[in-house]
Amino acid sequence: MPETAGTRLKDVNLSDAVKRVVVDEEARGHPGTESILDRLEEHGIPREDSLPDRSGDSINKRFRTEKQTLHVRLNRGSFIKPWESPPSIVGRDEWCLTPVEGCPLDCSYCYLQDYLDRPLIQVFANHSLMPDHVREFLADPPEEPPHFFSLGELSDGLFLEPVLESIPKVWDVFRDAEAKIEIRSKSHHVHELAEKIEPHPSGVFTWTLSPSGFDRRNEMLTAPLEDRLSAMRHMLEAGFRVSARIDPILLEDGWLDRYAGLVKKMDKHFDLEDLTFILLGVFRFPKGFDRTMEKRFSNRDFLRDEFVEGPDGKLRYARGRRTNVYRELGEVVREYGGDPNLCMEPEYVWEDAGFR
Amino acid sequence: MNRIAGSQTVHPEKLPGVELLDACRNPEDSPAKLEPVWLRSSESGVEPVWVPPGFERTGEDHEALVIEASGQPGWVLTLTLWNRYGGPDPVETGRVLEYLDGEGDSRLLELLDLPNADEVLAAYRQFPDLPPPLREPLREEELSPRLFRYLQRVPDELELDLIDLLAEDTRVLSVQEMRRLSEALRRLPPDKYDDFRNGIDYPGEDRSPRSVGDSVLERARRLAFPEVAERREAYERDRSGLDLDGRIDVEAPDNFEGDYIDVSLRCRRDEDLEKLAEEVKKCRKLLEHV
Repeated sequence: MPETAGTRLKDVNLSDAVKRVVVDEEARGHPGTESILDRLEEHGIPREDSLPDRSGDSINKRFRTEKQTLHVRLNRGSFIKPWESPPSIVGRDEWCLTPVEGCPLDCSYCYLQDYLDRPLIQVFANHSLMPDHVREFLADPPEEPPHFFSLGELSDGLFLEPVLESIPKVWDVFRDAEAKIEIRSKSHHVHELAEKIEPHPSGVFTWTLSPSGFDRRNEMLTAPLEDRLSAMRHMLEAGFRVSARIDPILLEDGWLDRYAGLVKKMDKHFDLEDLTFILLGVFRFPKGFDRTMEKRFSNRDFLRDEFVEGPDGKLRYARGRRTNVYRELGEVVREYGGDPNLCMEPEYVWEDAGFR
Repeated sequence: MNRIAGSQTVHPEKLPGVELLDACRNPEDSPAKLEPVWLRSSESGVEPVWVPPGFERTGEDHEALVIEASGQPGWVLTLTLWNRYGGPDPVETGRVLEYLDGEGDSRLLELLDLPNADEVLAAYRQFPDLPPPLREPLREEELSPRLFRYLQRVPDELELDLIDLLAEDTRVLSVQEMRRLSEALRRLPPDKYDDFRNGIDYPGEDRSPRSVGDSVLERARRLAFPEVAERREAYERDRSGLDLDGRIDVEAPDNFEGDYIDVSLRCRRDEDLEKLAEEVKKCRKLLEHV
């Protein structure tokens, strides 16, 4: 085990990203609402009576205000949403658990900016129904097992957990099921989680990692890299399965040194071979999404590059360059004992890069 | 955005106002957190281009950021910074338009049919820089507002070159070509701008607008998509070297993102099919490209 890195977790910090909470009329008086409000009060988040009207605002102002606003409401539909992997891409279909829709962390490259109807953070007060929805699903599944569930696709999987406490409710449903659950995050909010749940082989915590510097420029509200690595080590030491996504990889000057530095930092916190999986994925985006990024974030020079449309309609670096990226960074990860795989790439890139 | 030249300590009482902000922003609309003061260096010292509304103009010295000198008008920088700090709200936008609309350019804004304040402001910001050969056709509806809109997506540094080109003859680029060109130029890294500029030919006696448009577009795409261009050339070289029967078409996947080639045959008789099927074996070499 590495010697230099500490495991001390920084305190929970919600107030940099969340500025207010508004309760929808039909959620008022719901026990889940009261719990959420109590915990938000402890974190100094004030309650307001109505949602801010940002309809006439500039795109930046609207995003900034709405992403700072938690809207507590009831979910009248399912807490499980299907996510289908495009057939042209190596991947698997998943079922997304959604106690929250919308992410306060506001990463510059995040597809949710275009994917969701609006930036507002919808927090579902009745998320205690989520485990029942999963049990019902598993009792009469729409397809053959195994089933893959994720928590953290439509919002960060851990950032609001100190307020929601949704993971302990659903974690054990997967313990003996023919289904897996993956919690995805860029936050360090794992405080007390390890005391509230116990490790099991069907559950894994995955952190998305980016090199220092990149994380401050493009992921301004996420936990800094060191804090994410401490959270990973914290969970590993508690016996949980932990994995990493190095994604999105941006090919700025000196990219290999920066990403190799990231892998080296990972190695200072834990043994890479202890990770359940390590995924590598280059920056990619749906057509037209770059305009949203350019409108919202100035100086996005990394968009001035050779991006071409792939078989799934998303734009990525041209095939030869990303093949080299995977080959070179994959080699670095292997040198440190990790076993990398690719994220959201077609079969021919796996083959080109020597991953098949 | 202009380069930051450094920072400087200023005394708030000695800071003059920012004309555009003072005219268009309600000083009571103070942001919760004080944003930095921005200055621009000039021959006579520094001039403020952004001072947060509600900034307390009394009290202690304040650290301000300094943008290096440039030829851009101060109000362009103010709008740029304003957008950086959230952009004008609708009321402010109206005030900005009123403030800038000294020459009756509202008609032009209507023609542009732009959907939101940011773009309207961007258009407004760029309109004064347009040379008369473009300005008049746009105002007179001879130049497509849509084409102008694609022009807006071109990086600032290349925009004037394209305006010069369009000013020569507005038939150089169709709207569709302008769309593809603006997409390529948005991808172009700044270190290739000179290459692009140096390759622009202008219409003349021996160059039709059509051929100029083709060559500009081709050059931009080659510079913006070098790997795909190189792969395409290598593929075409091998493809033409096969000397295939004219009734066989072989297509590589778009952008070479794929692991197969498409082969199509045009047959009328059994004998055609047999002959072409034999000929298709030559295509084996093209599989190396996917």
